[in-house]
Amino acid sequence: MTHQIPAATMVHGPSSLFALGCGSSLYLFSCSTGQQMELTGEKHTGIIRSINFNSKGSMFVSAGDDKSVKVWKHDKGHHWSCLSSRKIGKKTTAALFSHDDETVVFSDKFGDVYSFPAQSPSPSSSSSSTTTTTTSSSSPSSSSSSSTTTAADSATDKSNDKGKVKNKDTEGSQNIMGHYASITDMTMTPDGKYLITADKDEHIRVSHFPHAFDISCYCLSHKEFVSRIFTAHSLKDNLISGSGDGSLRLWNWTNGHLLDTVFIGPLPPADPVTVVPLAVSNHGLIAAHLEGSPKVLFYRAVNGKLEVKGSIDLPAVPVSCSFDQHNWIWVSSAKADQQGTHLSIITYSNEYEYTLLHPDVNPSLFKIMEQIGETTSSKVAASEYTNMLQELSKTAQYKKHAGA
Amino acid sequence: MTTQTPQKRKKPIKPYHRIKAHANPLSDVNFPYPTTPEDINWHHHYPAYFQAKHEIAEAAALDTAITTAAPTILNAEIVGMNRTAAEVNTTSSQGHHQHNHHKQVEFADIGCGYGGLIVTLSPLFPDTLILGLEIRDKPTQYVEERIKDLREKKEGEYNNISVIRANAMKYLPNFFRKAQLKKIFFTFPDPHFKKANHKRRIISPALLAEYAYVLEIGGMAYTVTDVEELHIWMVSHFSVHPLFERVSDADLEGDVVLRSIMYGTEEAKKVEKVDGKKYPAVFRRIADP
Repeated sequence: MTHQIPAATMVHGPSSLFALGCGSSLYLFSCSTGQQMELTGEKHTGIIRSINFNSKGSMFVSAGDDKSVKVWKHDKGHHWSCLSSRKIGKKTTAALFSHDDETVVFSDKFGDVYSFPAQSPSPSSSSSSTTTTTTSSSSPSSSSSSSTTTAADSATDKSNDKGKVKNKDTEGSQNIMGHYASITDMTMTPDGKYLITADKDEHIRVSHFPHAFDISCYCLSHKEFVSRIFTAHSLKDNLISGSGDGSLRLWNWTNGHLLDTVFIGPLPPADPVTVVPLAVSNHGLIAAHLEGSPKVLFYRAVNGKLEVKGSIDLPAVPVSCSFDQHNWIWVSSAKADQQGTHLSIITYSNEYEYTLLHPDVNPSLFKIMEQIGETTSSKVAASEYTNMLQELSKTAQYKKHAGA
Repeated sequence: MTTQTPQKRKKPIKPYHRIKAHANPLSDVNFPYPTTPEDINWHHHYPAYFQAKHEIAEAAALDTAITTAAPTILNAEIVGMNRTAAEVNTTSSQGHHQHNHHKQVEFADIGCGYGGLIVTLSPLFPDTLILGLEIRDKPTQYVEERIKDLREKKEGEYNNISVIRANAMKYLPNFFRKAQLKKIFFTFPDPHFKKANHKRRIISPALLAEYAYVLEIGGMAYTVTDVEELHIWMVSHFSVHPLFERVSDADLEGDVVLRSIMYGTEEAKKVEKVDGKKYPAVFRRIADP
């Protein structure tokens, strides 16, 4: 069978770096030369959900379903190694660097957000370690955080160690804030001063950073889980969000105001289809699609409104996208029994004509894309492939309400 | 410190509305909740203060014929309404009521149970809108009926209190805007003794950020419990949170609100009956230092 595992996440970094995670396999390339970087370190053992570079492109963080967060650094030439690896109590949903590259921030399926110094090594594996604490020290699951544990507390406390283990497993990380629902996505604002988190309970929260205990505002309007959120220098104070409610929304993250809403997909009384924003370019082009649909739609935020900028029908359903330094879109698709690798590139001459990169147009780039596609290809049996797609479906993971 | 397991506690004086004391606030909410604070039908809760949408539409029809910019009040009995034609025209199509610039909920009782506190507070702050939030259906219904009853029996009174069924742990920002509240109450909250259930406690570092968000700077959070371990838990959490500082006993001297939480709720009275000890603690919302 030639079913290919698509990349659940991919990102273009500085200096033509390109990182992607296909299943549990992590890859790093230069997309200007096609050179594959060597990554030395313990591999991920679960689907990689999030990869992000630091601003210099000298480090990146990877995290996912194996409940670990790994920081990788550039050693020399094409050698990179794992600087640290942390085991978390829950699956990690997003991980990124602060703007000054000093801190790594990650979120989990429980709803918590943690941070740790980017340069810090892996925590020692002593089992009795606790979270390093400065401000918001006491986590609800650890009763040792209160200064006195009374007799009543330990007497009635029967389910002791089987309780929330997240505290024990987040060694060396500080809990900086939390939602009371799975965090589905997280991003930093372009000025690095605010952290934006989105959850399964339709919330988008803008918190100060690093003082994430100080909430700046909420962006409230979605009626279903928020699938993804994007900020970008090109978007300035705008935020893009997609949701299981079938809408793409544009917000002002400085005050939480909803600027524009676009409903995509079936109209009521049909069930809405989840909208997933896929990527935002350096020049403000927004790519989005209906989950499970091969049609990619493009928008621009112009004066507080979302303007349609065309679309393209891909041969297969895209799972992740990323704009490269030329603002062309690399796409990893779920390909079953099809020719070629899971990778393709969407090019455009003006914003209304999108085509897949053809070898004649740019032979060297095409070759690099094919090479990377081949290297990162792993073919699986049909059943495993179907399971994989289910794991990658945000709707399957997060949707609560039946019907519109 | 109570040694009885909480599940055995019953509410003996409210037979029709008796229900198990504990709900799991962490599970998905299966009753309606507002998407934003603007979506709450305030006319339903405080009809004396907010006009219904259809009345506003009628007013708009009238006002368009009027060129004066003077405020127009249609119903003389409605207090606090101050609309101009311009205000009426900008009512959001989703709103059930006119956004009244002068009136909004300022006290919130988180987990109001059978309404004892809000009923006690109502005459003490007759012009302040007070809202009780309760996750369980039956107590919410009971409080609704209780308030209706009080409003009928006492003409002109109890118009400033109401109750809404809500999961405050998950959806507080859906109910209140930033810095809207002057006071927030946590009276005799569920102790959730088991360590595994500590995350269900109404006071946690994550939730404190949300309480700070809905409270104005200088706003106060009142806590009281008869469970010493819970009191210590709440005090330690509030104390380490950078946006809260403890209010000293000296500053609370003569505070009618403190007296209300100590003696004016159903739980408080139960504790009094058994000569139990109550542990209050009050905190002020401060700016990020």
